[in-house]
Amino acid sequence: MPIKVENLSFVYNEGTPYATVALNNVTFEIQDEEFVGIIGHTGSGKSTLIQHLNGLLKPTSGKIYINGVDITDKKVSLKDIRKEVGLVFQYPEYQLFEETIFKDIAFGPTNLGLSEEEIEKRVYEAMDIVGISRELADKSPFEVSGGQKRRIAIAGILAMKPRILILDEPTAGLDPKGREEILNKIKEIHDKYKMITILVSHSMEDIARFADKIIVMNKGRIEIIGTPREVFREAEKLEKMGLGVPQITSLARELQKKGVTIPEDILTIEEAKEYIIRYLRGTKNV
Amino acid sequence: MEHIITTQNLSFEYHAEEQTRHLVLKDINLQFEKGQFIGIIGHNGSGKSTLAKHFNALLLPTEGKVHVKGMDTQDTNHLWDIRQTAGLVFQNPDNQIVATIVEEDVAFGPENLGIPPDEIRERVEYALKAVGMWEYKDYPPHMLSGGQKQRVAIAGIIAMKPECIILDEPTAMLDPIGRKEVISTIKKLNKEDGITVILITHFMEEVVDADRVIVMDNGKVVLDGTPKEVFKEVALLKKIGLSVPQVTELAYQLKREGFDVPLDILTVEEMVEFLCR
Amino acid sequence: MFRNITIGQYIPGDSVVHKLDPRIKIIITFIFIVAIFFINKLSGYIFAVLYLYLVIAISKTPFSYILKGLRPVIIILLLTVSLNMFFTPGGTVLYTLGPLKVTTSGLRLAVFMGLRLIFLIIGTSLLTLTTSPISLTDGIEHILKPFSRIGVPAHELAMMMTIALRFIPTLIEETEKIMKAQMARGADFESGNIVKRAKGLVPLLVPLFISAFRRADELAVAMESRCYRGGQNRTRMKQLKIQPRDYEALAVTLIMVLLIVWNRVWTW
Repeated sequence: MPIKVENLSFVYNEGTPYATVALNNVTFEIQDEEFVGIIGHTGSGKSTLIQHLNGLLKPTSGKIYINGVDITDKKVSLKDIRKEVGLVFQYPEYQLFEETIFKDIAFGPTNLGLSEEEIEKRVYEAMDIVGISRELADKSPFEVSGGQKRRIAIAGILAMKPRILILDEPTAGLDPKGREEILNKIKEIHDKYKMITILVSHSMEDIARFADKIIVMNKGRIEIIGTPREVFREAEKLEKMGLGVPQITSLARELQKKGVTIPEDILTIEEAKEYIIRYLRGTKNV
Repeated sequence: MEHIITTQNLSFEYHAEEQTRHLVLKDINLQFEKGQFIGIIGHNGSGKSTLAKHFNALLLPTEGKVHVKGMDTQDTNHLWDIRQTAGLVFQNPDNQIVATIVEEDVAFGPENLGIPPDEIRERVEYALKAVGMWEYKDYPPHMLSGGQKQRVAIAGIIAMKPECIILDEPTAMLDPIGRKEVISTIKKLNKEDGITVILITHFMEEVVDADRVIVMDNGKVVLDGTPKEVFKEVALLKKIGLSVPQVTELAYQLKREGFDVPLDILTVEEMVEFLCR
Repeated sequence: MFRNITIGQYIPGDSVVHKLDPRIKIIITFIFIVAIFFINKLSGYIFAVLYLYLVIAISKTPFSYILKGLRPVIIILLLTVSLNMFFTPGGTVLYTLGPLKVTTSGLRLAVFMGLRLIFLIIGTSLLTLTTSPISLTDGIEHILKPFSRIGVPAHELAMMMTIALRFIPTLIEETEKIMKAQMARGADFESGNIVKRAKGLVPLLVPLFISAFRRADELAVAMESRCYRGGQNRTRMKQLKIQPRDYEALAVTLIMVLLIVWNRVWTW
């Protein structure tokens, strides 16, 4: 289900004194099975962009093709789009409302008009995927821990079996352990179900670890787009936007300046370790 | 050294339902020195927020004592003096701003203390300038960014002229820019105005320059020392679900490979200096 | 995006009318309303019209906003006028429509009631159009303060109003967010009959209430830790002070009242 966005622009409150351009001529493509990271500040347009991808917002101008179908066309039913494109909002646990965890996860599939057996099958499947024990199915979603609530909310989207999964800052407000758990889960789901995954995040470290492609947004435009290595090579540009690079990448850059043999586009601690060990062995041998 | 807050054998029990009892804090003994910048870290549910609420008498110990500037928090006669001495800033900036205009919100605390109007005005100006929000004094809070709202909340505490500010995960809901704004504001208040700061967080980077870092797990203090002393316990920190800065992790891994790397490396500069000296 | 909405219908401005002490404005509005009901001859409305014209001109309030204020009450207005017209006995019958009779006294009463209602709405609209909700709250608190001795919770009422004003934009934003989140789960807030639509609101209202309660809880703790203990011993940074312009406004209003009284008692 490739995604193609062409010259997408969006203006909030068009025609009023409060009009603000949220997206300005955005063009990009996402291929099947890609894991894409979107990074940018609050107000850079990233939330506006993802809301366009499942039809919650209609572009002021431009086209969005999902699997070749132009979803900005009025004839395309929103239900069909939302079935294919699952969007998990920031702090998704605040949308929970049902009496039981089972019923809450079933809300999406029920809205799709599926049969009861199918709904039940999907709900339990989704609970398994996010790691919520089936025994909790009849418990209230308000009685479990914060991290569990968030996973239940994500299960509510997964149960709709989207072929594109978009997550808006899924780790916001969690502690390091909770962040790690959620991120690994997302990676696992992506690898297992081969769906396009779009992860919106503030954390360079998180995105660097998982993304095949990174889109850097700034003031409603795409500033940089490319593989993590390509993007982090533009460290100065990122710093100018106030985004910065992972600490390990800036270490590599500093070391390179000092003449150490290490590429400037290091992404992980493991990579850095290899080069530094080689460097340390080299200097010691001399 | 003068102690601003002390706890003696502090334990706190929380009753969820009739039978179940959670021991949230277990026998905590801490002394906080005046003028220091102290970081308290721990994962969610480690008891760090509960501890914070004991520092200004929002919660009272089940066992043991908490003293703020020598005042026992269980002594109701001192309640308002304690809350004025040790101000608390919370996680969600939206849910601690009371008034519809920035300057009126900052005035809220002093108004509660019964300060004369002219002095409130002076304090509000001083507090808003201290957090760099003076030019926003006439703004309604909902027009501000998360970081700006949190600075207004801090100004609201500053206007009460506290000796100590306790911040309970003030950056958890902010984006990186907001986080930077808030942290540099707190650091400035500590350095320039000499206010004791107790910062509760789960972002390790925020406490790298602290005078002291306390690590909590399961209601207990598990580590207590300078950042260098604390962060070199990489294995223990990881075990209790906390992370360390990437370069510290790198140093730890290099050490395990048999290299003689100091474990108290916290910043890129320190690592570069060590490798290229 | 609802973020830019203004609460109430306040139009910011810096005219004398805007700058008047809110207490005085509330009192003046009250006097004006009483005076309106005191008028018993059509000629008496000349003074009320002149007075309103003066206020509108000085405050530079766009006339369209004043008309907008009348729109929501148009049904009540029509109802009042027709009830009075058709069901007032007495006087000569002018017109008969089945069982309904329009009499001279009925017509007279209908016109008066209609005019009173219109003037009442314009008068109060002018108050809210030229006074920010915050200073209105301040004004109400100060006016009610003397009554707190007899149990009127002046401070508490004002505090509640302030908090409501503070959280309206936050909750509106939150509503929008939850609505979108549920729409992403296939929720439909737009189609179906009333029952279906009302049921469809559950996924919106439950999270909204939970969030409002959570916010209220956290706010209460935050207020307490900022030494809030009700209205006792509390001071205010902003002090309301009566200025010469307030006396002038009051004097102009009283002149209008005197003219209306003179009109009722001594003229034709």
